[in-house]
Amino acid sequence: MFSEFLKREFTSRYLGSIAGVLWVFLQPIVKLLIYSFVFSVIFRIRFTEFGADGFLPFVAVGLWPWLAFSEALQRSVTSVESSASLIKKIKFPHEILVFSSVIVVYLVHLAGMILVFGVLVGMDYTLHLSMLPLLLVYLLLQLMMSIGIGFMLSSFQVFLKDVSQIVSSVMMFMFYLSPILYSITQVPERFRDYYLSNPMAFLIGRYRELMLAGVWNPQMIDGVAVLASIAVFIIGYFMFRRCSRRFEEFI
Amino acid sequence: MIDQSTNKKDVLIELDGIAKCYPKLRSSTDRVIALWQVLRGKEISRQHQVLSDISFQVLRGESLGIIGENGAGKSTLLKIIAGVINPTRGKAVVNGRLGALLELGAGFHPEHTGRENIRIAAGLMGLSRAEIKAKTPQIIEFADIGSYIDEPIKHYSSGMIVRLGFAVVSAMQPDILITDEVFAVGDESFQKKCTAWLDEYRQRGGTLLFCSHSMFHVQKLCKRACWIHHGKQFMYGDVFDVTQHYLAYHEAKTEQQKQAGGETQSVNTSNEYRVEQVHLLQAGNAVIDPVYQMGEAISVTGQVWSPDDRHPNVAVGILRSDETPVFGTTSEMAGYQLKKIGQNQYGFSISFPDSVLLPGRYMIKSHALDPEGLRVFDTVELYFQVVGKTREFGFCQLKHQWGSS
Repeated sequence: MFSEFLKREFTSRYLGSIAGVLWVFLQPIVKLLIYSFVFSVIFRIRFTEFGADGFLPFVAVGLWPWLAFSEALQRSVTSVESSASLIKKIKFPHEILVFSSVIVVYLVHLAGMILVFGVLVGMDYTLHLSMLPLLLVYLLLQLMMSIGIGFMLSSFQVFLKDVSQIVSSVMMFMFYLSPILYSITQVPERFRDYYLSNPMAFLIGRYRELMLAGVWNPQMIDGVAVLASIAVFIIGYFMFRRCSRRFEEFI
Repeated sequence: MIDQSTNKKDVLIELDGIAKCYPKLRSSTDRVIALWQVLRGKEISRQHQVLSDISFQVLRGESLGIIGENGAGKSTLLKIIAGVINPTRGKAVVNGRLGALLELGAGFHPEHTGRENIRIAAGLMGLSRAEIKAKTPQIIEFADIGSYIDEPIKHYSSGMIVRLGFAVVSAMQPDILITDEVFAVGDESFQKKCTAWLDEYRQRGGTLLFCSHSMFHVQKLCKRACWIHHGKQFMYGDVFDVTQHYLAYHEAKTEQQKQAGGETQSVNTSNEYRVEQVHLLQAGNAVIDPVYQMGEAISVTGQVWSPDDRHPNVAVGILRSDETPVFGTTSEMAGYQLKKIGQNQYGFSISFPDSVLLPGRYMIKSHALDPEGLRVFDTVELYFQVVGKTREFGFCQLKHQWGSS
């Protein structure tokens, strides 16, 4: 049943458009090229932190996980609401809606990221592909957190129809407030504490250390991150369970 | 009402004090408050009740009909039993595999083809991949929609969607089948197919939970009936008891409406002939929904309103409750003249002494005809039942004689 839902989510999302699946991979690449043009050609920003290897791999490592996170939340928030007809007519575990919407986004962007990594290595950029399994472990934490938040947001959306609007605005702000186009070390000291409250700032930092520098030095905060993502997942799940009994009354 | 000694294994459905409430949501503040109350696991404070105190059991092989007026809560109850929605209070226990055919095209995806939707819908109903694969040819054959099976569902007619839906449910071999008046959509041949399948299904020991406005179908398919009235379990018991009370209730209700409307009709100068005040008589008294013994005299009295005050005619016909005609005649055929009883009012009565009707439910239709006996105007339907101890079958007892050659 779960695979049917994944298929359903995937086809309803991508098969309707002309370029189809191709577009899914193309869009982030175009984004990357535009950022690269604006920042390294026009603004002439140079990153020294991870060698002089340039802007492309630096942003690429952060961009795909960010897109997965942001799109997953925006898709999942309406995942329950948009399946109103199913919820009113069929008996099925409603959790599947959140799982499938988030996981499809992650699978698509994971494939895109690996593709881009391959291209970058082919272009003689240094990427520590041996660290890929570790990156996947962190990405798994990110996935758990996304599903947990998705559980909360999608159930709130059923009750309060403007949650999805808020989410898309917040995601836009968060894009600039997360160290995607810049490094956390460029942020002045006095603002840096705020970045601790942004889990994506921590995760992107780790992705870069792994892929660009090839180092992994776990600290206590990594343990906290593991516990926190499990906690977010579990809390989200229980909130969702409470609300899902009554979705049909509000949808 | 409920036999405690019943073997647990044979209880397919057990409802205990089911109630369902829906929240009253007028403003977005109500929604915020409701969300907060749901998250804390509290009851929502502002809600209105659509079902309350529904308790009954459905035993294996004892199909149950659910009847009631529109908006009484029948569909909500079926959805609770099917597990689509949760009751606000009370407990619904279902033992055995349950197949539900609640709404047109439920679980189908309009962009996918019929074949793909079979896979999706069957998966939603909990069939394994291997089961689905094995049963798909059988489902396609039952649905019988030809090459449309490889077209997207959005191009289907509603009849084709019902065919496909019924085909999928029937392939599941459910212990309990819940349906909500969906057969009405299919064409004649498909309805026959469904009825045949349902008969076979019940003979195999299948149990039906059937919601319908057709008392004929309820009586035919079910052993028990539950009458839901304004969200309450108004009556539960033997199918004939419940449906007859239900019909009598409707008779009385339309009678009331007619009487309420009658006064305005007297001012109404409609120039159509119509029948009024038609009653079935039993031993000389007007009775609603009477029960006659076999051979007892059945009589009908009534009035016909004639707009031009010429002598109108009247036609009276007896039909079985599935509308198969048994016998009909008109006053014009017999040369009978209706008796003038007032301005524009003509009375009639007709009696069938020593009726040869066999036990069953019947309907008697009275039509107003013009003085020429050509044009049929108004129709009034009344129901009655014939009971008796006989194992003969058909409509009526014909004179017969067994011989040796």
